[in-house]
Amino acid sequence: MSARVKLTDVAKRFRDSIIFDDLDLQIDPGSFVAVMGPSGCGKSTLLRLLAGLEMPDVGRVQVDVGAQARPRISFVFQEAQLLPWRSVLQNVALPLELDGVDSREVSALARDALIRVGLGEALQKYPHELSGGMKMRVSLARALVTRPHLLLLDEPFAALDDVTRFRLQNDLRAFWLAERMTVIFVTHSMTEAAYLADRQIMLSRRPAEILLDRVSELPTHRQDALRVSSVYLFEIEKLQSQLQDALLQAARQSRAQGGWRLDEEFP
Amino acid sequence: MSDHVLNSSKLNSLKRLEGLGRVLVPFLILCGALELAVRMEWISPFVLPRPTAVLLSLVADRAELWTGLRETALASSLALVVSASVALMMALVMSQSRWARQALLPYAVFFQTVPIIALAPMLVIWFGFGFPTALASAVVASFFPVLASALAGLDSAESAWVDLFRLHRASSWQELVKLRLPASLPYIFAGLRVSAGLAVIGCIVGEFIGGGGLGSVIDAARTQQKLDKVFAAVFLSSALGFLLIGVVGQLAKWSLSPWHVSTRDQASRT
Repeated sequence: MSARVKLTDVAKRFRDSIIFDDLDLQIDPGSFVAVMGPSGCGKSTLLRLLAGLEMPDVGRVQVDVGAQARPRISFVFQEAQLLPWRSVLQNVALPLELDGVDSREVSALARDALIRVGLGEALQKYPHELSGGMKMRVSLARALVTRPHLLLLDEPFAALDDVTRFRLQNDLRAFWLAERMTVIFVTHSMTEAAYLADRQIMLSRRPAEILLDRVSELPTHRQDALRVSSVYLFEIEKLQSQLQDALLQAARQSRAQGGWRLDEEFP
Repeated sequence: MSDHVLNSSKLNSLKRLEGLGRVLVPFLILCGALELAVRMEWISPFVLPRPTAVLLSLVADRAELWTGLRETALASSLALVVSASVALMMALVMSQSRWARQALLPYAVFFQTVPIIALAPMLVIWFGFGFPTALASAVVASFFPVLASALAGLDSAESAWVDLFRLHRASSWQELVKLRLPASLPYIFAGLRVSAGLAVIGCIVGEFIGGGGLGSVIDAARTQQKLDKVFAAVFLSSALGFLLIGVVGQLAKWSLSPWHVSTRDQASRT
């Protein structure tokens, strides 16, 4: 089961800064959506609103899985954020413990999740013994172990080297294909958004509005070979040109309303 | 493989010996210099005793010093346990209740600023002579570092960890037991190390005023101008402080191993 996400007339401000003024967004169950935008535009705040870690000042945030069930939401942070005093297995078991899952099942479920991310041999290791890529794998396993309806990822691969990042992107895509949970992936990278997601959303500067909302034309099953294919390069080119058009259109509208510069939007 | 383990354990023993040597050599050089300076009458024996005289006093006055050491060790260890327990309980209450924190913290800080030497005569009036005053004085002296460090530790959990717990609707109890307490352990042990030394100092001050233990040995020897005995008692009280700090260090190692950086050896650090 996956979650339907709906934001209606959402406004959010922090002190004097307006993050969202009147944001509407709808995401179908089982979608893989990438959210891009300039630094500080509110991408992370959007994820926090969806996770219930922030409440909107105005408007409504709905994460609906139907049948009055409580949605299971998982969050992968920018850094792995593992608890250093817990072993790898214990870190992955944590969400299950907090959710009150039977203690006899916890260990088996956590072990399965770690095997899925290729860390079946590292169960008893501690976070300080792992590489950056392995830590992020544990973080992914911790997010997947509860079989979430909605998986939120906040630039999880930004600090990793290319080889590790490509491998983790493939793994994430494979997990999504297997589980078909709704995934919202925040990233700065246009190529990452193009490769991973089936829908790309670009936010403007604060107060954030949706500048571009497009559906990918890449095939559902994606492998490393796609990265060097003309289809993928053409997709990135199209994404860039659509973004450029959206920015110009926004600039024209804004100039008509009293001044706005393109280089202010994406310096 | 076994050769490897053997070599590494030999290497560790050698490193430990080297560390001990680094501590002992400056001490022995200082003792030698002092011995020479006093024997050559560059320094009067009424200002500083000869190290060999202190050593002789440690042997000659061993019965009195041993009794004093036992009393001081008992009072300061017990005081450390009491102050650490009360401070931890208070920190837990204060971390859970904003009201309790606002109400209690200023008093704890104020209490810390009162000089223990000024408070000790009052402690004699309240608790009587001997052991109870030494104990109370040591508790007062060693209380605050544990409280302050435990409070800092309980607030030290990273915001992303707190978010993770909130995302899974963790109860306050789960957050305390599975997150805040483990995250605060390194801080608590750092505070305990400071408190261990302060417990001995507080105890000696209490004994100075209320009698008993090494404090009264020092006071009596000082009035009799037996400087060698004063230094013998001071040496023992310092050794007691070292021992208590060492015990806390071992407890920290046992509790924080293998995850905390302070318990890892250099080679395993990444």
